Amino acid sequence: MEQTSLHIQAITYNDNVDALMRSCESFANALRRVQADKNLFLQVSFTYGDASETPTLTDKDIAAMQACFHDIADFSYTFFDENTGFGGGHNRLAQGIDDGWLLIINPDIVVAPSFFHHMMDKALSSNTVGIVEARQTPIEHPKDYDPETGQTSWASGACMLIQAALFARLEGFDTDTFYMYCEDVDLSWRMRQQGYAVLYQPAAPAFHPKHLSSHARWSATEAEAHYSALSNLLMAYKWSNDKRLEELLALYATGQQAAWTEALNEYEHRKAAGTLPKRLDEEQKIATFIHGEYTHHRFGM
Amino acid sequence: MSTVFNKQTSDGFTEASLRIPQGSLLATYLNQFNAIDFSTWEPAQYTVVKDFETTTPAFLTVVTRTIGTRLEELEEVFLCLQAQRDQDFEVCLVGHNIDEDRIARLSKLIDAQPEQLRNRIRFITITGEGRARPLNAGFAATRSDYAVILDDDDLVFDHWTEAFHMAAIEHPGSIIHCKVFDQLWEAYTMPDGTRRLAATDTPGTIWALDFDMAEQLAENHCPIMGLAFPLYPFRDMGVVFDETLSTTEDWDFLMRTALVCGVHNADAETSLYRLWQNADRSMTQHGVQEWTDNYIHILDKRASNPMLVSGDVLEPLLHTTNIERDSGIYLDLDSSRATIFDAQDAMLDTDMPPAKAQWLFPGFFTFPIPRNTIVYDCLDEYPDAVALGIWFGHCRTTTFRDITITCEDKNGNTWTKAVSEVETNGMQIAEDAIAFLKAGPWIKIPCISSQGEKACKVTLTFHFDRFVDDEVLEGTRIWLKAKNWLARRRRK
Repeated sequence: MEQTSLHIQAITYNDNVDALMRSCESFANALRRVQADKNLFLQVSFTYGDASETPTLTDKDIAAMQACFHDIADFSYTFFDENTGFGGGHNRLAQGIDDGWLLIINPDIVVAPSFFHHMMDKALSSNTVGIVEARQTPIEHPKDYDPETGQTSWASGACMLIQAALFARLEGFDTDTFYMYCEDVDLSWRMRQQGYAVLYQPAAPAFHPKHLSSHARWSATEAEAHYSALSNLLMAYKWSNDKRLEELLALYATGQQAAWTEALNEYEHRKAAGTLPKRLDEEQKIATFIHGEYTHHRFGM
Repeated sequence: MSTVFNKQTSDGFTEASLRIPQGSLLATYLNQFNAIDFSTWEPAQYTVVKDFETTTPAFLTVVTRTIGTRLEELEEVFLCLQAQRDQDFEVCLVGHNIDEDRIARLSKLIDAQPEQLRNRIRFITITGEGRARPLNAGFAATRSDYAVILDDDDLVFDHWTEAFHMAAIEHPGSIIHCKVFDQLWEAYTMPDGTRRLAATDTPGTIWALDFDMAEQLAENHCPIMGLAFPLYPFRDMGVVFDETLSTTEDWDFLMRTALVCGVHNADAETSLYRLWQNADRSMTQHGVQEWTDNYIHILDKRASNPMLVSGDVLEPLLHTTNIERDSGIYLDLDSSRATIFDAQDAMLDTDMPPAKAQWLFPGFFTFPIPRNTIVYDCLDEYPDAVALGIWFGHCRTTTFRDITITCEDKNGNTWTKAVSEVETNGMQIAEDAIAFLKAGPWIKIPCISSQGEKACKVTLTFHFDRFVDDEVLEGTRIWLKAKNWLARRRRK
């Protein structure tokens, strides 16, 4: 099998250094396992982009992480000195990368030793695979997928493996439209528009440290509520679902939540300024809006 | 701080010491004697209170028993441990009745772990019958102050060990209890030989409750991975897992340890218990009779021993029976859920929109008793629906009275359903009343009329009592006694 390259990247924002170190150790270990068994990668890089106000890592931390990867990957750290957001940071780190595979992760993701075996099995199963998504654990995302093929509507940016050339061709995440939330859905749908598959790999668990409320439900922060409300509007507009857009505009106009009013104001501002995104998929072949989600969910959260 | 008891030889010299941490129930009890004026008494035995430093290499030992058949699940257990924020733990993996091939595969899995974790995993193997045997072996191999059991298919959040540790610092010597969510999962073997594990339902809260000693005396509500056990009762006081029990060994051990140590609720939800829909679990591996026999054996053992409980546990027991105690006032209606069933009894949707409901709690002397109304009017979204199931949250004994059930089709035609037509885990005690004695009351209402019309709206009205009538309880007691007597007879 022809060897390829792998570029792993994460954006940090005031993250706990111990959590980053645990993540590094798990990736270094999984890389050693897959290289020992399959020797898949000719070159591997692992990069942190830091969007915090002040650098998260000290020189000592950087040295410890370089030592962690010393025999298996080139480790690098870039302090952006500005809050780039998730998509902006990843686009910046991915500049110039147009070969092999790009693994986009949250900075606190921890993986099992067999992670790359399973992810690359799926990635190399066909030339038309655009994205492979790991299964988040201990709280699995409820998004539906085909149990036989793994095909799914979209992949979460918490842990997604992407054909690097396709990411470059699609110009990465749409940071003109999205600041936080839905940029991963949007990228997945643009990938599918190009004829590439988005696959889910349930055999590759990726630990994503999340907690539930005492009622076993997600509880969104204020910022999450604000940005997800705005992103919902922009997704409906960009992916040409006028019915969904009108429903959301009417709902947000009730002003029942501060986040709705803020999102509505921002949307109207962009509309007046002519900065809304170009509309896609007017025939509705790719985009799916189901009960307020972007695909069918197997269960509620 | 700990209380040290000196075991004395026949000539009065100290032979050995037993350390009881100050946070334990037993130490609290024994320290009461310090308040007694012993000036007129001749001392025969000494109690000394002093500090002691722990010298164990880790705070916690994670004991994981495995028969070596669920390697993917076990790898995920190790992944969860690798991700813990508090890494002050060791792991004791106990292989139970496994052959050389499985030993080799488990060893390979351990070898594949990152060095930081791998160096803290000890793998031991044992043979012999019973689920308790590997637990005794694992606990005997611990080198820590506390131990927790994490089976080879469980999932824990990243603050699982941290929550135990923080609470144990505040309450040394107590059992530490954290809450556990439940979730339905499925496991499949794919054509390529890999196993696909998939969550199939919303995480639930059937066990996400505080430890309640009085309730625990009746039955177990605490999944084992939510409990960190101090190890001094196991090591020094002979409180070990009962190897004569083929099931329920965890409940028996928990209660016997709790009666020495007490239990501190850490008020944290830290793990997720996977309920396998299509795979074996202990509930399905053992028959009903076996569970009943073990239950009775535990009650028999308890009946023949004195029991140390704190006053706050005793107080409610003095006034009520255990099945009356946890009554309708604990009804947590915010967590009630509904689901839809098709003709094959398959659940079509387990997360329906909330009902239009009016929940009214009766006061102690509220007359007339307020009436509750629940309306589900979204059934037309489910063309295959034949029944509506409603689960009323956490509560045990309560009674729903004056029940009316009205169905309406899309043309506005209405019909009623009798209580006798619904399925429930309660007992119909009158034409329009159901008494619930078990945790998690539910009813299942047929949505199809006798003429075959399909309801798009179901309205349920009732009022509920906090208590179940005495005669119903008495009847239940007699029935339980008869059932237990019969079980004993069969056993003999």
